[in-house]
Amino acid sequence: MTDKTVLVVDDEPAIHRFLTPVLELEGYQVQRADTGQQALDAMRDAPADIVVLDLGLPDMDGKAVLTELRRTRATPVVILSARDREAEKIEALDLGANDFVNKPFSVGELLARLRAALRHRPSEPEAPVITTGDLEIDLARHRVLKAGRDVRLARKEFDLLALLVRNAGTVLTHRQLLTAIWGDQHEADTQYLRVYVGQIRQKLRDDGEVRLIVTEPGVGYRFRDLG
Amino acid sequence: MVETSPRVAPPAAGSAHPSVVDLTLATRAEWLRPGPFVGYVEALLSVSVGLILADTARRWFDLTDVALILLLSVLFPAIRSGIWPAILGAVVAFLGYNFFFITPLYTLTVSQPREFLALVAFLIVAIITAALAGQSRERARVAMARERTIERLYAFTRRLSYSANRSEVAEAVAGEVRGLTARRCALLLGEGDRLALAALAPRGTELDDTALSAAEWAFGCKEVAGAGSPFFGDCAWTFLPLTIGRRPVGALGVEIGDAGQLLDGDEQVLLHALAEQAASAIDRASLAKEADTARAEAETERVRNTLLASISHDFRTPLASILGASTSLIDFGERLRPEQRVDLLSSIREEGERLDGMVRNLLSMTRLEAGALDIRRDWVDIGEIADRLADQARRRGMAGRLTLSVPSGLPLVKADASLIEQALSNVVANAARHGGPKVKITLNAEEDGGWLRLAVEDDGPGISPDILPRVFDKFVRGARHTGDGGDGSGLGLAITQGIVALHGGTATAESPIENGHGTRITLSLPIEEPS
Repeated sequence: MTDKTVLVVDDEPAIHRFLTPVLELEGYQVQRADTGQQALDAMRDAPADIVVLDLGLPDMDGKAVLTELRRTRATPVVILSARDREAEKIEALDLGANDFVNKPFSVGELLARLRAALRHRPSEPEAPVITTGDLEIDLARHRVLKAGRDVRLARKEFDLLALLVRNAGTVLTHRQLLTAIWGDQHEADTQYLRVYVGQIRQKLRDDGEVRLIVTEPGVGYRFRDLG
Repeated sequence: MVETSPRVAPPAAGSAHPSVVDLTLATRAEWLRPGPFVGYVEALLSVSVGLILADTARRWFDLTDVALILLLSVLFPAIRSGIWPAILGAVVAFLGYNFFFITPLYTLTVSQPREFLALVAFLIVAIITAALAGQSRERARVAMARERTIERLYAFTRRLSYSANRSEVAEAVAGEVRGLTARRCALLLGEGDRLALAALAPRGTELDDTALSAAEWAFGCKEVAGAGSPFFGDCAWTFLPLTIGRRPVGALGVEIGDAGQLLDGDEQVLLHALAEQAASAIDRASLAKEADTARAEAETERVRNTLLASISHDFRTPLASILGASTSLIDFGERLRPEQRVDLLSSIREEGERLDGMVRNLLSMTRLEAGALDIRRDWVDIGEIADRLADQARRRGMAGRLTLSVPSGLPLVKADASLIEQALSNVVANAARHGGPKVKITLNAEEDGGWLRLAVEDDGPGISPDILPRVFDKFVRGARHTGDGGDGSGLGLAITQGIVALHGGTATAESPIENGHGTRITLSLPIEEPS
């Protein structure tokens, strides 16, 4: 249960119709906006704690709403977008959206994304040791323990894993990962990611049915939120 | 000269090209040709007149030296008929000069060495004058012939540029080459790696195997092949390669014939020029064809993409609602209040109906296009259909936004009820979609002559003038007013029109209808008398 306010921006009444009761049930206070302008007005007058933003709005592009919002606020934003619109999603994520949910989506999926996005507020101080499931990552000492056993990772492998774990539950785009680990000039070298993620998965024996590192096809990677 | 030119092939059967030699470039040696017989007669006449004039001048004006008058008489045939008649004139003038004007008169003997010298000088001057005049005449003739050649080539290219496709260009090239060279002509074009016969002039000309091999050689090796060349020299044809840059596009052949009248230098120059023009014309036609194909493919692709995009888009929103509502019920059903559960369940039903409508529209469109839409006509009461529409609107949360104005006692129409409902429902959905959230929609039904008019009016922003004429076309969409879920497939009104047309009726659109906004879509159905 939470006492957060969520602003749902979607022009389709049917979406509000099923989201509102469920979000309220989860303890959110729900604000509704049908257009981009209404969304921006709402964020100015009574800023919500988190925003669910549909990218296809009648009056303005969802990405424009995001850009406008990011001028003044770092409020977490979860994008609703069609599965086949990777480019649009990536653009929105690079513009500062925190995560996305493919339409059509199940309510549980959206709620999980909202929780993850709310947990990783940028202002939060970082713990020196992150534990998730049977994985323990010591950021200061660059050590990784999987089920108590030492896993030897190369420097870049460790950096990549740490970045993903730090943002567990939310997606990181290829570009965000590449610029953070390899620098700006490598922002298009997605083959690095394929190779390194493959190596990390191998070393962590992350090849079960439920993967720790989830591939978001065409978009990026997400570390499974183990709560 | 035409008749005696040895370079002209004997006229081929079925061809009439009188201007054959005019075009062929004059050779440098042409001025040395004997020329027609009439030229010699003219030369003799001219010199005779000169002698008479000279004699008259001597008698009446006491002119002692008549050499200039005689030279003048030699100049005429030189200019008119060329060098040989002029030389004949010069010799005759020389003899006449000696006979009539040099003492002793009326003999060919010369008494004074002074006069002998004058005679010899006259002969030399006359011959040189004749030669010079003859040559310059020939040069002028050649220059004119060249000019004509260039004009012909220009006309050739221009005619080729009118031909739109490869086969037309090929026919034109063969015909023109035939006309310009008076030889049988064959044009073969490369289709991929192979060479295919594209045109023959005159039609029905036959190519033997040797000729075809020579053509293949010309095409493959990009070299002249056949008669007069080192390759397939025993062939009755000569083939020139047609190339664009280093790329072969075909081969152009002319028949040399059994007489072995090979191409001379000028004819070769001409043929090469023709081949070059032909190659570029054919290349242009091929490119145009490729561009057409590409355009057609792009258009098909665009239509397919639009259809796919709109279908996936249209289907996604109701699917999102169904999935969202059903997962809410599954995960939170017990915690939801009963009225919330009912609302979610009814939203699932409504969105299911919406999907069903879309599928029906898509199927109708496909069948309309294939001409396979089943129509089952029966007597239909428009009032019933209007009530069903109102019911539908209520379920879609549009209660109070759709007003019916359907007088009782309207005649029945013979129609397919479900199709008419679909047609009207598409129009109403369209008004709701583009009219904005507060739109008021009215359905008016009235009898007008032999027609039943069903008019759907809304007070939305209207249809922009650039879309209005195409509003019943497939994939034409108006401005979005409800966003993501709302912008339609661009099929609805197209289907409406198709259905109405199937019933022998018409669909029209007017916008704006009031104060710069609003739209009226009128479906007119013919009223038949019940038999």
